[in-house]
Amino acid sequence: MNSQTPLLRQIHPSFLKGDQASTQAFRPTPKDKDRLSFDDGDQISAQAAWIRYTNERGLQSVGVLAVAVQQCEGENLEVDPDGVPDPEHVSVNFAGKTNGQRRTISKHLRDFAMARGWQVGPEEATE
Amino acid sequence: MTKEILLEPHFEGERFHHHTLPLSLLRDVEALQGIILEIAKDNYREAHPTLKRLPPRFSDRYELHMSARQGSFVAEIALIQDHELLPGCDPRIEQAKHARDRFLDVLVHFQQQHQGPPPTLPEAAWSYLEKFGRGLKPEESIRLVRGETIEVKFTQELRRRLLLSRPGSQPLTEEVRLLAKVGGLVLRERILSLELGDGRMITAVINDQQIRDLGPVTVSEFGKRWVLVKGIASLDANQHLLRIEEAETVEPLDALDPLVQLEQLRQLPAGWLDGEGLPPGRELMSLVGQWLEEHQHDDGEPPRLYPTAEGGVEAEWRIGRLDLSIEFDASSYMAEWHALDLDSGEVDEQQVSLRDGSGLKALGVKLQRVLADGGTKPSAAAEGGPA
Repeated sequence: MNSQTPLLRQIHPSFLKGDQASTQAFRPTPKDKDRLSFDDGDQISAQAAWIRYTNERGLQSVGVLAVAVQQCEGENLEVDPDGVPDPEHVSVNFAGKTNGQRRTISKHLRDFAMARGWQVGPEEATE
Repeated sequence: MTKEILLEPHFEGERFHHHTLPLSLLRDVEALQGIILEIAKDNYREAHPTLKRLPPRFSDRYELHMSARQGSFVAEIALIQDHELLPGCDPRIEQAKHARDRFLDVLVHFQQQHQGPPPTLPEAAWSYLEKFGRGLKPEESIRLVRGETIEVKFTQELRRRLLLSRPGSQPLTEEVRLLAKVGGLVLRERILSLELGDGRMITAVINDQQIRDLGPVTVSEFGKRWVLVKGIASLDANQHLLRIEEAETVEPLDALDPLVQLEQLRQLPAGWLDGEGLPPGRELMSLVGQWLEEHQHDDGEPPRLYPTAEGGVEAEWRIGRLDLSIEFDASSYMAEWHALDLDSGEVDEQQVSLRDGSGLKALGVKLQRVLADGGTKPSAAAEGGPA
């Protein structure tokens, strides 16, 4: 993993309206315990990560967006290639950030990701 | 001529605060004509059992008139009294009052939920009772007073109780504003099928103009295209929609229309976020819906509405170079405004309790100002009040 490595993020269908992903997709929910999950795009393709997430795990994702490692680090976030639960898993740590900071960061990350474009999908919304 | 006031329906609710009555409710008031007339006819027949026919022009003699005076909106329903008769000498007045009293007695019976059979009403009056109060919204009522002892607050709920008591099992009719997906369209028969939130399909017969209003619909859009239908619907005793009896307007809605997005949020199941997300509650949804309806310009950039994992709603706008989000937090019951100027990096944050009506209104005015400015003024986000 280097500063240009794409970090792959699964997007829940409820976090997509029209062509725009919610900033919520780029900040931790309470169940994430400050650590936002990504896959290391140098180790697994976006397509393979999406298939594993949806088909094998049965979780919901309309597609995959990505941000670069340096874009996370530019927001003063620690990027931790923890390898759990998958070898390619990466956690981006939001610990110590206030709610306001998390919102600002998630807006930046969402915009970086949308500017890079969808790596997989998005599937047509069912609604 | 003098007028003898029979009833003074007080229309109570937000819509009547300017002392006016929406024209759509005139039909409801008009129903009083049929109610009084049919009961008067029935009373007459009971009093004159040997007569085979009503007196000629009986109906004309009971033509009711409406005038209005100030209040929320207070209508005066009156008979016009022939000036040639001495006061108290017109028999119609007593008969009309008798009919009114019988009508009010029935309402009182259902309002007070008395045990035992209610006072009967003539069969012919029921079609008019069906119309009376049909246009009321849940929070509205029509207050009917007789003397100092009888006061009826006629609401949707009282109307339902009354109509469910009528002989036979006929569906209720109510005015509805229904958001649904187009489930099918049979042009030749002008039948529009509507897919409801629970997956059930109902039909509406629409007219040529409404077909034009709907615009071209392809088969591939069935189950996806949203439409707002206003009209009169029939419902069963469990309040389930059966069909649209009379469509007044049919309006296609964009997928990003806030009404559509709110409906999608309402349909979220528990555990929507891979088993963990709470769906937004009814009270919060109602509050967000009303707030947006009041402050979101129809021609402005629409918000994107997303659920939050904790049962809240997050509204997000991109207005020029301003990235604005407002989280309506279900757990803290706060609205959290966060506006990021993408050029300067300046952030404006504000929190308002969802129980603070004036604070929420001020936040709405702030949103309106930002939307009107198009996010172009660097200070736009910071102008709207205390941070």
